[in-house]
Amino acid sequence: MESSILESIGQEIIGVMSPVSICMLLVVLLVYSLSSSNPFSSAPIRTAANLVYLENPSDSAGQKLEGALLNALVFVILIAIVTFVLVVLYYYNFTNFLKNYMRFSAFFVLGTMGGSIFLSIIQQFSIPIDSITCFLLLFNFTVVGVLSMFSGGMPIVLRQAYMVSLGIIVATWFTKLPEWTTWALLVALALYDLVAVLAPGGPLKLLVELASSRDEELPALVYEARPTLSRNEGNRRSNLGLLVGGVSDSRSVELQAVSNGNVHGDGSQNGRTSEYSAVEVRSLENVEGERSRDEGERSPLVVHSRERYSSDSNSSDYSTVIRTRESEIVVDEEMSPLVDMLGMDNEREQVRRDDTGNAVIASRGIKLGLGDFVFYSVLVGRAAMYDLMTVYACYLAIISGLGCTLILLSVCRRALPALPISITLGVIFYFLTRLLMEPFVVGTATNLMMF
Amino acid sequence: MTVAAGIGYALLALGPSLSLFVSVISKKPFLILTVLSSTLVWLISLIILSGIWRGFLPLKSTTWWPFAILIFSSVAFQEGLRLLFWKVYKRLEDILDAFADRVSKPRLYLTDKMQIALAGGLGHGVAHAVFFCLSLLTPAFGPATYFVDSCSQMPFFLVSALIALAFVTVHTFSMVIAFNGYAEGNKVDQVFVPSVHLAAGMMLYMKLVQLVPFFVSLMPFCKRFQMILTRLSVLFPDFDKFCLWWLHYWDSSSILDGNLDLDALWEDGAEKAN
Repeated sequence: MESSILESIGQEIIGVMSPVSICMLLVVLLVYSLSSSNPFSSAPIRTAANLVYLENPSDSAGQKLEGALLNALVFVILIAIVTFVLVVLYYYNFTNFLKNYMRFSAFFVLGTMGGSIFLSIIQQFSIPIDSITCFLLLFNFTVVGVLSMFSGGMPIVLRQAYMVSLGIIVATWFTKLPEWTTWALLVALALYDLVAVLAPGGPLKLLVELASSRDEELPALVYEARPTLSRNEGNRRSNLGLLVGGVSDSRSVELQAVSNGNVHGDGSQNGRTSEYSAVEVRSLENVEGERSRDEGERSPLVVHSRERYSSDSNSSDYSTVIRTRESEIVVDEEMSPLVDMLGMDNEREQVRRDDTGNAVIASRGIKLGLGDFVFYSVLVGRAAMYDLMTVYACYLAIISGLGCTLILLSVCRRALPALPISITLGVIFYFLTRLLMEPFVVGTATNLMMF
Repeated sequence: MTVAAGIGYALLALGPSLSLFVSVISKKPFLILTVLSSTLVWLISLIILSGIWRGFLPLKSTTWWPFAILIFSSVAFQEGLRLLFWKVYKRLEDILDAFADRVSKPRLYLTDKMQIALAGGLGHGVAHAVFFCLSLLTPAFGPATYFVDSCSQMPFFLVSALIALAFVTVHTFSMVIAFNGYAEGNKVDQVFVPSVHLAAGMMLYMKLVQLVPFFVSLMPFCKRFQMILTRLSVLFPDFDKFCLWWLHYWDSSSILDGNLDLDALWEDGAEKAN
């Protein structure tokens, strides 16, 4: 039976939603397993998010509200200042400093915050492990994480896994904030996100525009759901039994993955080389080397196409093109006639290619900032401290908000803030569930009334 | 035993839908989106209903009619929502067909349409199980259990898990039947679905026997079993096996009841109550 349209629609959306869901699920599990009987978590912590006011259970509601709002205000101002400093540094081309700073901060976060979370997990489940082994494991985890996030040559799955785990670690840390502060913080951040991405002169808008005008990658921690991963992730999922990508028709999927993989693999490889333009030729060779190494794994049909393709691109693009985006675009144009040629062989492939072309964002992959991961998970983790019901409601609200944002993205075709819609829906659903639904559902269900 | 019991209750309620999700839904991203959106619709309907009824809670359990009105109004509301869902789905179908024409793919097959209906129904059913069973299950992971007055034979969690299983079945398949009925203009099917839903709710209310909803939930199977089977087996050959397995699952759940040492549980619960 010919593959139906249902298999191709929404693949990109699922590609973004599934890591977000995994992140939220793990944060909820962590919160559940750690918050139950951990004396360490009950002690309030001092972070940048509650500089002004430390919440006391005995304070009145008005006091708490005031303090929480002040905390949120201070935190947002801090974030705004830091972002502006980042933009200024990026504007004056301190790229190396930024890169090293990001490496250091990722190392720091994975090492200390992750380490303390691992320690509390070990305590909670009384896992017998000696300190030296633990330290070695932690060090390896951290170093591999930093390497996979900031240098090429790592499989994208590893990179994505580390992105998600970074999000989990930071989110778990944020759930230790007191309750009122968390809510005020989430709302304030959603508003800040709205302003920073959309308003003229907003720091994130400046950053995105600057990055796209320089044809570089964003100097930030960004989760990329590249179409490349539809193959990798599909396979991984099928192992897990939670399929996402359409893997039933494996041949055409393979081709799609490969053709997109070429573009993006090369694009990002070149992106890295263009920063170190001195070694460019060598790393182009690397790219070619990688390609030929990869080719061994492909099916005959695809190898055939790739050979043609790479010979084409060798002659035309690579000798001349230096900048990332340019090469990506050129390669893209280069690719389509080829795929059309293949399409004559097999109709289906062409259709698939069209599909990805039609979904606006597909050709570059959807990118979601790590902050969105973190604050979605913070909301869900905070909801998990109340009840499971609020968790489900918030999860559904956030995911539908994310879906709305993605649909808007395909309409607007520009960078959009991912926090506002989701956070608004999440907060509304949390309080509706807590105030309205829970008494109703508990009341009816304990009377064994269901419908 | 505690964590195992909690997981067991959860799997009892959601196991079949989980396997349905893995075997049918998860291969097609669009169906996943359908499940999510239909779950959201059900959640919104539940929130609206609870908003309406919030003022009247807690209901006195001595008088009979408030609960009857509650169940009747809820079922009516949700069946109205199903009609709305159908209208939206009709529009969506046109959009999908237009899109399929544009990318020169085949239009939606009948099986595709039924799969969309199945996904929508699964979303409703999962939402029911999640909100009425799974979210109340948190204490089941702890060391104690809980008995309600109206059913002193089984722990509340086991009862709610079994009922949730019944309702997942009702919701999942009644959506398929209803969409089929709307599409073919078949009045019997259109009336059949709300009446099954209402009957399931009312039987629970009247507490005839706790297992009555199970028979109700088998009715969709019996009534349109042939239809669903023939239509769906075109697309997934394993479906008949799946249905049989599901029936077997019902069977084994009642075996599980038999294996429970009810007297011991009863004494245990009585001790805890004292």
